[in-house]
Amino acid sequence: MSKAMRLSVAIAAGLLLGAGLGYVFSLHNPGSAAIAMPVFAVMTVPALAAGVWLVLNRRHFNQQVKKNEQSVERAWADRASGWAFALLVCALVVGSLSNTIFNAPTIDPVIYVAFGLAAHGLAYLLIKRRES
Amino acid sequence: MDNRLPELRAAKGLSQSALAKLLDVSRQTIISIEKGRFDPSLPLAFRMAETFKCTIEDIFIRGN
Repeated sequence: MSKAMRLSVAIAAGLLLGAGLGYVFSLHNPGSAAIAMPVFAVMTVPALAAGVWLVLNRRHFNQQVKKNEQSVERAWADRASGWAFALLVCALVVGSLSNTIFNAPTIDPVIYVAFGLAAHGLAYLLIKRRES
Repeated sequence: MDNRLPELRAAKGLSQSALAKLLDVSRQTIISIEKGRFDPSLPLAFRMAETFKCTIEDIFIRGN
C-alpha cells in the first residue's frame, strides 16, 4: 500500500471512528445524531487518524526507530500532552463555571474526551509544523 | 544548542537517514538536532560521540 493510500485510509478511518463516537454520544442524547456525528468526526479526526496511521505504519516504525523515547517525535508528543491537559482543564473550568453561574446546560463528559483528543492532535501538528 | 553534526556527518559520508538508523532514532530527530531545535538526551549524545569517535564536547557547542 502506497504512502498516499495509507494516509487516505487513516483519514477515512479517523472520520468513521469519530462519527462512531458521535453515534455513541447520540444514543445517550436522542435526536442529536445529525449534529453529533459530523461534529465528533471533525473534532477527533486528527488524533484518530494519527492513531490509525501509526497502526498502518507500525512495521515501518518498528524497523526504523528502536529508541523511540529519544526521538524528537516523543518530545513533541509529550509537549502536546501538556498543552492538551492544560486546555482540557480550562475547558472543564469554563464548562463548570458556566453551569453553576449562568445555569448553562451540563456538558456531556464524552465532549470533554473528544475535546482532549482533538487538542492533543492539533497541538502535536502545530508543534511539529513550527519545529520541523 | 549549536553543533557540528552536519560537518561530522558529511566527513563520515553519512546521510541523515543513515545516521538516524545507526543511532536508532528517526530521521526527523537528526534534522531537528542539526537545526539546533532539539537537544538530544544524554544517552543519544553518547551514542553520537561513539559513532564519530569523539567526545560530546566535540559535537555540541555550549551556548550562553
